[in-house]
Amino acid sequence: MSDQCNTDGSLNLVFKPVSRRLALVVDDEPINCVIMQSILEKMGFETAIAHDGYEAIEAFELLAPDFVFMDVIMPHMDGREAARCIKSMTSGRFTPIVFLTALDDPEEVHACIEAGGDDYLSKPVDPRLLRTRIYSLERIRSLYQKLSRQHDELLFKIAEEQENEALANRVFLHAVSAHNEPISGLDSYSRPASCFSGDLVLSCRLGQGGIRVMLGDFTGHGLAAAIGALPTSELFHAMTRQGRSIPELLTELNHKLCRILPDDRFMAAVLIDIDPVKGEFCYWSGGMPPFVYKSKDQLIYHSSSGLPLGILENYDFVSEVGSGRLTDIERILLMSDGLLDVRNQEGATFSSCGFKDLMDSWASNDGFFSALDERLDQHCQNRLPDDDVTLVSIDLEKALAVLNVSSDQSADLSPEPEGWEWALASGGGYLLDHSEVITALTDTKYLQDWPAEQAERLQTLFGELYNNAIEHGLFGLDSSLKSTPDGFHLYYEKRQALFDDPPPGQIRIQMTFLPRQQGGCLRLVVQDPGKGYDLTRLSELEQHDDPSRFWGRGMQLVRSLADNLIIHPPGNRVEAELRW
Amino acid sequence: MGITSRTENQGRTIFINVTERFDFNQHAVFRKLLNDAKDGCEFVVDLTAAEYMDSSALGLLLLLRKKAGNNRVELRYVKPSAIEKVVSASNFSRLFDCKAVSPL
Repeated sequence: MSDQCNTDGSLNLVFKPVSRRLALVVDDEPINCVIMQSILEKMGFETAIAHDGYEAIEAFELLAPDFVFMDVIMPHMDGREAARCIKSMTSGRFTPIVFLTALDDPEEVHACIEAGGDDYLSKPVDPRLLRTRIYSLERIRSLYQKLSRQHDELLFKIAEEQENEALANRVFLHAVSAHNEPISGLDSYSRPASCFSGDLVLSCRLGQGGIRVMLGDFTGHGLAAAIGALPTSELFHAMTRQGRSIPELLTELNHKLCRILPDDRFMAAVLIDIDPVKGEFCYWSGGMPPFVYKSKDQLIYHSSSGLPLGILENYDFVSEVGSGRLTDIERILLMSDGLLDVRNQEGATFSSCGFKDLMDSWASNDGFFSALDERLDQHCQNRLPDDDVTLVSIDLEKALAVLNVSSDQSADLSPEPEGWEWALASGGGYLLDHSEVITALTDTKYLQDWPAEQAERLQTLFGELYNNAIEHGLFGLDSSLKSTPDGFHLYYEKRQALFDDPPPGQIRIQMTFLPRQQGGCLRLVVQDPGKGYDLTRLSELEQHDDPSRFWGRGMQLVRSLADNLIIHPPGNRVEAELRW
Repeated sequence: MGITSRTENQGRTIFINVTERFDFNQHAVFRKLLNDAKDGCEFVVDLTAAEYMDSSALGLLLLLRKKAGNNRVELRYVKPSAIEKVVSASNFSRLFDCKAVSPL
């Protein structure tokens, strides 16, 4: 094929035979077809002929031509109808349809273009005009092809991005979240801006019975954020298990993030340790919104004082770690800045539109996360937030209801260097059986050097006091119920039911051991949330020593086992001493 | 709109003026700015006309800081403003020479 129209220099370059393969000519007049064929072939087209609309559609399907030249008025099916059909068949590619009209009537031209025609020419066809039209349409087609290619590339990129995010999500779920220990009373809420959120919640029990929680916020989303999340999670768990302090952990994390993150990436974070044995919490926060705690009926906001991690290589964390007493604190709330910055359609931030009400609902602990969800829905109106929204709420009573073991040589309670103190709070929905407590104590190896008889004495003594605290102090069961065999049975059925679903309140246990040159002295304190014993009735009971009665033997046993026993009024705190 | 810059002091001081939103979309402009800047120059970033700033913008500022080495990177912003909140929440005032100005 050769281009014979090179008389017109300006169009010469565009008329490359390579982009011009097949033109379909549709006309019911054979003579018109022949004329068009001759012109088009001179321009480098191959041609195919159809004589009406039906044939045109058939030929179009079969041959997939690059151009269609269409007569308007034909038998069986006219050009406009055929154009409509052809256009509906060619989504995704651009095949120009040029109408050839006998009339130069604006109405008809309009109808042709409306039917899907891309251009029109009047008959008889002027070869120069035809060439110009073809040139113009080819330019449009190449633009269309370019756009379409870019569109495909974009779709591919989006799919790739989604795959990356899904991968990041998988990495996150398996490698990061899976290591978090379930901690009762610790709830988190997340509304990510993308599939993998740059926000990260890590939690771990501390060696001494407390908990450590971290909320991190990486700049960026998807894989970029997941890159930092992995080592952060690993370090967090490994170092926490080793009992490393907040500054030690932060120094390592910071060092690692400085090395692996690009210069413009970092992680804002808040880290908090809750130590029920010392009765205090320690925290560090860098680049995060304030964290909040509820003390009595007040909300107290703690601002962040540090820089985010991964920016400064040499960073002194020790001086930035703060601490506070746990007394009176019910709940702690950590949040990422996503929450405060969520914008509504008018561009107003959540912090200015509903944050305060939300905090009030958190303070009253009234379905907080569902309230948050509703409020955010209202605020965002189905739009995704610009940044991840993550909150962590820690209910201290629940979170600390499990073992709190301390090997501290706590200065005020056990001044002897070899002594130990062991404290525990049980309850708040997670009540421990007395054997679980004893097992936990024996697991610490604290008792391993004890003579067997002393360890047994402690177990029995503890069992009595602890069960008393549960049954009377916490459950409010009346022992006199046990005066008949049926009542005895009923008593323990009730006890079991209450044990499975305990009322609020905690039993606090403290054991302090001071070794002596030979033997030692152990002081055991058990305190329950109840109103106390009727002390006069108790002493009356103890006068009537009837070994066959079903109840009232516990305290007697305690008296006989303990070397010293003090019942602190009103009777909800019992102190027993063992010496040998 | 967006970012404009000018140099003084034979290219050793670069003034960057950011308006409207300061976020990841300014990455390309910033990268070019950094590539063109001489090592060890100082920067003055004027955010007084910016309305919004996110953490990726903080990241861009860190890139400036690295480029500047031990030289000054000054941030100017209105106090109180959204920009000032972000800068102070991230405690970036410890990394940059911050000049808070009162609103007009």
